[in-house]
Amino acid sequence: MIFKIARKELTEIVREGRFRITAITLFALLLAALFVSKSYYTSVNAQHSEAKKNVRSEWMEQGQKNPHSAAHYGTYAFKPKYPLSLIDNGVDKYTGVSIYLEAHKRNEAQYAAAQDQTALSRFGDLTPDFVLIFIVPLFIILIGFNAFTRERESGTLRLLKSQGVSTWKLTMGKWLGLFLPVLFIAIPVYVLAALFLANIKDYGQFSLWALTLLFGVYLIYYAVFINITLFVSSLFKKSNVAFVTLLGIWMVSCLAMPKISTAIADKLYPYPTQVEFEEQIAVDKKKGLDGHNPWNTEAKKLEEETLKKYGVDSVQQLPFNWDGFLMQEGEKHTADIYFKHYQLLKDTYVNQTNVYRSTAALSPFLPTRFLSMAICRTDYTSHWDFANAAENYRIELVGKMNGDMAANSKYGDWDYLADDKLWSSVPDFQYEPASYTTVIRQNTSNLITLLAWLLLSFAALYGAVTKMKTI
Amino acid sequence: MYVLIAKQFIRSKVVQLSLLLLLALGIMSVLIGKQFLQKQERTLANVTQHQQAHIARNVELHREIGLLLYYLRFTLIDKPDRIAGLSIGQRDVNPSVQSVTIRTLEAQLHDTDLNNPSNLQSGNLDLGFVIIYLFPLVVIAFLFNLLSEEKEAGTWRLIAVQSNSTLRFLWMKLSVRILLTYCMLGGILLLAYLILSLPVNRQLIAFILVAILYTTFWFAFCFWVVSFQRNSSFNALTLLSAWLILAVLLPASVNNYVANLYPVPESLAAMVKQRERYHEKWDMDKKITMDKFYTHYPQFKKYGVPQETFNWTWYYAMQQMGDDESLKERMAMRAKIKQRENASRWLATVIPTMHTQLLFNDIARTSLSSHLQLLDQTIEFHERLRLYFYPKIFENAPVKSEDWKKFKPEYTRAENNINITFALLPLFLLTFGLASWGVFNFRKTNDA
Repeated sequence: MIFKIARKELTEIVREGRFRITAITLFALLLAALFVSKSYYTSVNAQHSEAKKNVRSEWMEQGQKNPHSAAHYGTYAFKPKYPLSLIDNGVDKYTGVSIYLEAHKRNEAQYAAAQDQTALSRFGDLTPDFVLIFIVPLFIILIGFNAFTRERESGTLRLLKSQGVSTWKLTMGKWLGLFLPVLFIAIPVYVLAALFLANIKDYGQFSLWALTLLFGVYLIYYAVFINITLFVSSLFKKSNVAFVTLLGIWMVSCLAMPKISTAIADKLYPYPTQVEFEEQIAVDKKKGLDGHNPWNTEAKKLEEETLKKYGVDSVQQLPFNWDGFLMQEGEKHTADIYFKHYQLLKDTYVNQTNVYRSTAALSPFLPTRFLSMAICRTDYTSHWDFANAAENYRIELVGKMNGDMAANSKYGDWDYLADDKLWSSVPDFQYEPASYTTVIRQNTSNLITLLAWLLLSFAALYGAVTKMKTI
Repeated sequence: MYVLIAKQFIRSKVVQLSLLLLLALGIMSVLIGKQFLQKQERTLANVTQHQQAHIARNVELHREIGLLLYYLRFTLIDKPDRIAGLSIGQRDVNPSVQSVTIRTLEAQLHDTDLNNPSNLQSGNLDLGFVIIYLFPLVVIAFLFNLLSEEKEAGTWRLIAVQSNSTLRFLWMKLSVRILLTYCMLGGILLLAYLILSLPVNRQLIAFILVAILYTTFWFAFCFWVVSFQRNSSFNALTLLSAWLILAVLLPASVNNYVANLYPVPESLAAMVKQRERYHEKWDMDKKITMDKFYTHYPQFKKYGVPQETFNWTWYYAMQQMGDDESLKERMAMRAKIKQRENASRWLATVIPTMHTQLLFNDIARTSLSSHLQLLDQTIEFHERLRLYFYPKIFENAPVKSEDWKKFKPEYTRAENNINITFALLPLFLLTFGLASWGVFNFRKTNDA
């Protein structure tokens, strides 16, 4: 019976012009989005790999230099791109792509694409995720809003009931009648995306498993919207009212809720302003050891301790270059300060994330949005992970430079020069993203919320249709 | 008659639902605007306070003016107007405060405020958003069955028989809806005026004018669709698709198109080049750097080429070269961004949603072009500081000889010279054209 109803629903939906038009539009949009992302990223990627290559060769070919000058000269860490970022570009537009690594200073990633764009960019981007999690629910509403109201308006609901069709079976049939068209669009897109992503070069390893997981999440999300659509349609007498109500729900959950959550998160856990943040770091830095200033109190203290430890009277007699040693100690000190303050920043961000996780209870869009970004490795957590890796690399690089200076030159000898051998001893920056196990562990709450949405919306639908009046 | 129509309209569940939703989101948007303004005020208060503390602390710490100025940051502020709370635009991405040292400028221009990018991604629910996205939806919900509901309920024939002019009857129905929508808009704007304590000035009036005209455009558009006299479901679908295309798909596509048309790889190139040009000077003969520096600033020639291993004159000359020698890349980048801005504007004139968004941002001074102006002013500000401090550093003036207290954050204002009449013209023409066409359609069917 369920399948008979589903078949009848399908025939009706497909026969009507709006399905054909919207399905074709949707499909065309997705293809265009995929194409746009691809061409955009190929060009961006080309620029990046070019810049990356240059930066590395500049580092290797910087000639003879004092190691500490080389540490000041520094290098750049570039954020790698992953194949799935073509599906969901996440927050990458707002985070910046490269971090300048230099002595004494932890820098923020710069060159966020959003800075160079007009306000139009805030309308959204024509990327696959935009179509998949923003537009597809609208499509579901469009083909399903009158699933029950239509029967009611034409009086066929009473007819069906009088013939002994249980309302639940009828609902399941209608449910399938909505889900199959969605699958009909999602599956080709999935296959195309898989073929497409497996064949692009320079984008790191493509994981089919992750893509499958991503589409699994999307399908659950669509099921939630199908439940909501049928639920609303079963409540009202008139198709028009059901339609406007569903539109309202879509608008609130996909358009307004993300923005409202942002406002709440910012209100409850505001970020420090840039000035505040830098000032606090500067204050802490000034309190402690300054590697470039041997007259600094902390530096004097360290000098006494070190002299005592080695049993000598002056820094000249130490078995290593005091300047290099002192600078490295200063570096360690500043690294600690940065670590401390970035940890505070991270706490704010974690708190904000938790706000999003609670508001996810009000909109199925939010958990889906965050899961999608996490799976595509384009969420803020992935960015943090990258920034931390870059910072560790910076500490290692600067440490190596200072260490070489301490070991191989004499105190006061700023003319000491190191060469290629030292530069090549610093490996190129390599970054391995967090494993999927970690990613999923970090997003358990989003997964649970989404599944809860699925179960609760099913329950609500069940409750509504069993009590449904036929007139 | 009028009262009856109004009563019948307001009694409808759809109407009540949409009004309630609109009111709730409208109020929320005003509160969010207020939160934004408060955050900006906090930032500005912080900046002023910190700048003083920062200068005082460093002056205490450093004896050499060259070293001191290595650390000192000076602030230029473009304070957002109160009306920015109505249309936050790009002000959340691009900071209103620029803090610079007198060293190489390039990298300092790209500093951003600390932000959770997830927040930037969701964007702001400001009043501009409510007007551009949500009001049209409400207008659609009010108008899509203006005529068809009568036909579907079978009352249209009665009306046709009983009233002198069906068009007049439709106009009465329409005017009730228009009036209610304007009341809603007026109410929310009044709330915004009170809550944000907006000053009454040209900006506010322009904002209100644009908001009214934009809403009227949607009325005209819906009326035009309705004038083809199709059934409710067809109208709803057509109008909704139009909304989706105008408010969501076209802006996204245009933005992608423009971003692809004018890629800005130069920003990265400028940064890398600036670092290269500065750092290579450490290993060069001092004379080369100093000669270049004195070609740029002949007035400082008298300070000569320093002989010692390290000297501040030479240091700042090297820093200067980082900027001078990456100038070409910087200009190329700026030109590209301007091209983007222009292309977007040009394309937007025919798309009311985008046009209105850009206009709102222009009026509230929260657009990309305001930010570009601030960047230009920062470049000037930076140059002014350099010229002021260079001679002092070169002469190694004692730190105490300067009155450091006078360096308070400076304020500037990026003006947007928009010709509001000209800017409103495309919206007006579209509205007028669609409305006339709609009336023409009705006349035609009436005569037949």
